[in-house]
Amino acid sequence: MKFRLVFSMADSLRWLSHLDLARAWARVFVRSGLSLQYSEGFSPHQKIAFGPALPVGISGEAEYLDVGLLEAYEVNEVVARLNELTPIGLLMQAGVVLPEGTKHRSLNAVIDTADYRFQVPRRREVELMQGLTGAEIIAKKMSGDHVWLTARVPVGFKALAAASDTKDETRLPWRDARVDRLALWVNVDGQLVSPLSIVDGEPSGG
Amino acid sequence: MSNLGLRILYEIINADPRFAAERVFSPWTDMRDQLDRVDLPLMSLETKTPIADFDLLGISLQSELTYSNIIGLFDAARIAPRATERGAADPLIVAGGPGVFNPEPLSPFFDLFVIGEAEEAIIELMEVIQTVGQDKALVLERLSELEGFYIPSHGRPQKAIRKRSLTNFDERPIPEKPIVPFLETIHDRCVVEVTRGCGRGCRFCQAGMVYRPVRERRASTIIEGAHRQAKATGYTDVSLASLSTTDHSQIDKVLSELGSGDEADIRSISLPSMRTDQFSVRLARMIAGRKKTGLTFAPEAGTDRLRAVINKGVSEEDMLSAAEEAFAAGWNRLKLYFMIGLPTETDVDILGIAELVEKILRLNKRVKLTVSVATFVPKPHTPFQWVGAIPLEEIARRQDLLKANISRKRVDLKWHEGGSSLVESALARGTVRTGDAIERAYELGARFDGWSDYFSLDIWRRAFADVGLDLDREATNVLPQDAPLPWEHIDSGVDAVWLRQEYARSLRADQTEDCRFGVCTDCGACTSLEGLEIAEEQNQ
Repeated sequence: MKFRLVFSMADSLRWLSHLDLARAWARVFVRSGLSLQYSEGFSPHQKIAFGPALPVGISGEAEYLDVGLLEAYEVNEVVARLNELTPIGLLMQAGVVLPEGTKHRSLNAVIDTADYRFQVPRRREVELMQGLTGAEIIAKKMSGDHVWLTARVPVGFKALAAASDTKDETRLPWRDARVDRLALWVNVDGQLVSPLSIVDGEPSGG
Repeated sequence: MSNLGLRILYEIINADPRFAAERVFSPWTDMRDQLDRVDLPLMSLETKTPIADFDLLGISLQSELTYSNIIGLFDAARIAPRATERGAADPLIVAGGPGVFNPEPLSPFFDLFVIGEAEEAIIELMEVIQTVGQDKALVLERLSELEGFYIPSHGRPQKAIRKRSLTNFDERPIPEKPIVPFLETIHDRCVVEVTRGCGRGCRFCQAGMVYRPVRERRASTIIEGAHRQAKATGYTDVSLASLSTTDHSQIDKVLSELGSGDEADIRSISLPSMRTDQFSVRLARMIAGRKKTGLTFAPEAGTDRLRAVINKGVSEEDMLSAAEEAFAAGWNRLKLYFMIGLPTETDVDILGIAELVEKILRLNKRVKLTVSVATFVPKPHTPFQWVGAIPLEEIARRQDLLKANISRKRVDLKWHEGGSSLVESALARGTVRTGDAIERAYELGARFDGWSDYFSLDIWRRAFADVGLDLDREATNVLPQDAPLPWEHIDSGVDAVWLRQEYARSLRADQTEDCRFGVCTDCGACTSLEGLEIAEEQNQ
């Protein structure tokens, strides 16, 4: 039985690499006792596939993974059992069952658009706007010394580069900037929809 | 994070509702620079509490090449390095681990040393601190009445400090919920210690001497412990740790039951230390599955004669039959560990390494070998404690001799620069004056000496010279057999007379049996331990 799940990774977990994140989830699944599907081959590993990787330094509010489980669980049960065991900052939000018998395209193949929110000091707004040239700005908010800008961009967009000095070889955002990925989208006939809703399953809130 | 002792003590302390333990590691140079830049002291990982605010700071001495880092850790934590310069508000600072068996070089920097296995002693120590409070002198006074605590400020003890050793190893807790790091660390898997101590008696091996006697966990304890840890961590790999895992009396039972359980929680098992024999290869085969990543053997020396000198107890025949067995089972890559600079070594023994490697290559045309060559470092409380390390030029000459004669086809040869072995030798058998050199070396920029891109022989030579010592002489010095040793006040449990006798036997290439399989040679390690349980009775 295949599930598509959406999770958040917040706070200091934004410093995890994609590989570290994948390992962390694999261990949470093992700890949960949910019976996992393993791949065939010389070194069998859990069948967990992730959506587009988050660059180190960016947190994610709605990230996706597909996982194969050997038993028929309720989505709510899967979400609850995982959340009992996640490290602080990692939280499963919701999920759907991927219907049997149909071939599903991978998360990486279907997700094409991402929303990033940038929080920078006002004095850096011009610099940030230069970095976001060509991006669609979908929200803007000012508060105190800071400005929050939400940009909708193609998923391959180098979000960190928009808020960092290219000469900075560490590729980290400015010390006074904060970048979050708010959402990932699938473009279906010109309409942006959630990766959860492109499958014919019962969506379920967590 | 990879250190087993740390995992054990962390869990013991945190399981006790009266106490809380947090972790701190030497920050890597980039982090250290950042701390300095933003003017922050070193903090604990869990609650970001400044290290100087703790009641107790414990440091495990795993290798002499980390000693400059200890001064660096104090510096980053803004704690005065010398115990005499610290006040009541500073933490009490304690050392443990194998390095305490010669506490002298670090004695100016620590308030106390726990000698030996600390599972019980750590709680006793914390209870004393809790009862007495911040009066350090009184805390140390109370601790001096207990077994296993060496307190440098009290001067040389009248009676040697006897190491702590567990008599009920099987019942001592196996970590149940070790911390699982996000980053991939060394030994990033479940670790269950199957045996403590080793009876093989390799004469260069400090751990094999100071952690005597050998004590085994029951097969059932190991299996339950592994499953519990796997369930709690989500790790699917288990490492069965010890100094010589394939010597466990029930290792075949452990491996077959761990590998065949209904529960899918354990998917691979690793044996970090294996004897060089066919039996061990057969065990490795049981757990290897289809992917055979590599096998490691440690013949240590190139000829049967020198292996007898060091009491390795592995013949060329054993080595070749183990390799043959491994190739037949489908392994095509072996890793071999050797040492140069062992006592009585001649060029014949060096060339013997090349010849042995050649013979192994001839067994199978496709196999590849990794050959790692370390330099012998004499360690306290071993039969070779009196022997000097070979001089730097001689290390280079012997390495060159090997490089010129060993096959380079299908062989990946690895060696360390001799300089760090020289420093390791000088620190391992150092005195209290060596401590001055360690502090000086840090001032001159020494840190992370175990990493070749940071190690600088020049810094260490200068540091020794600045405090009136000669590094090369300290490392290569032969210590007299009839004079007290710098670590005479530490009692490892192994009898000094026995060590002398072992050294004499080594010079005649006489081998000494493991007391589990042969006769007791009265090393003294178990005679004074009351209620000692060595291994499970087997009813067959």
